[in-house]
Amino acid sequence: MSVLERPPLQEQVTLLELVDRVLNKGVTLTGDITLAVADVDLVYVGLRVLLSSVGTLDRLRDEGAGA
Amino acid sequence: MIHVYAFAAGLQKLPARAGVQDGRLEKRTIAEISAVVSRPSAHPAPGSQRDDVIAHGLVVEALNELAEAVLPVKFGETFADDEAFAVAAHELLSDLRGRLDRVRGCVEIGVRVTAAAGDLDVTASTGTGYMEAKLASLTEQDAIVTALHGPLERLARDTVVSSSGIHTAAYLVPRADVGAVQDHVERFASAHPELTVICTGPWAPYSFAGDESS
Repeated sequence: MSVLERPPLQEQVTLLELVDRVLNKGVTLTGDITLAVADVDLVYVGLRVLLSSVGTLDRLRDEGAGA
Repeated sequence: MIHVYAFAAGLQKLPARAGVQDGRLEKRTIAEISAVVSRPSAHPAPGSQRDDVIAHGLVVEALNELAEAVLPVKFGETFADDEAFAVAAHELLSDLRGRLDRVRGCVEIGVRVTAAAGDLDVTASTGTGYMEAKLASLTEQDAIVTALHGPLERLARDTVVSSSGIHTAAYLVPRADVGAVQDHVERFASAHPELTVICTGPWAPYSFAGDESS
């Protein structure tokens, strides 16, 4: 993905935060963990304060599906 | 195969969205607790794991809007069938009740504070000078963290702090206090233009669902 194709920074950060939580936190049962690595390519760059919500992800996903 | 998203209390209905690999969401009941699951494809499409992770997270966030209390399950917990899942869930029942009570009515707010690369480097011409400068730098950082963390900790029902960056923490906050938390973070960011401050949420209480929380 080129720089120009990246989604807006707020959406990247929201996605990164969500993925971090989904993969690393939460209740652990005795089932088999099937995940080894998720190929998520995200970065933090140059932002000051950012208040984001998961609602931005729905929009991001919808835009991706429509592309 | 059963894919598990979350446990919930007071869940009136399932989210109107698909789960992992477009699987239909289903509810399982363990005593008074609901579990939300789906049956993903046994042969997922290549490269679908990224979408699966996001789909899992979006289901959990939707549940957070529909239930009184939600305990997200870590991605990747799968069971061969309903019976295997029921056995595992019943073993945790007492623990799940306690955790649901703790997060009831609350959401998670994430806060990260970092400095630009090199901003925290300490230089000195002597060993003693270096140690003194390092101590002064750490003292300054402690004061910065206290100014941010202290009020947030008082607003929160629980807190998980990690060692990443200047300050990385998750706060379990009653829904009514989310605005106060965000206002405090914004004021802190305005007072410290030299820092990068990231505040995200409200999230389902991931950091307070498992054994890692305090």
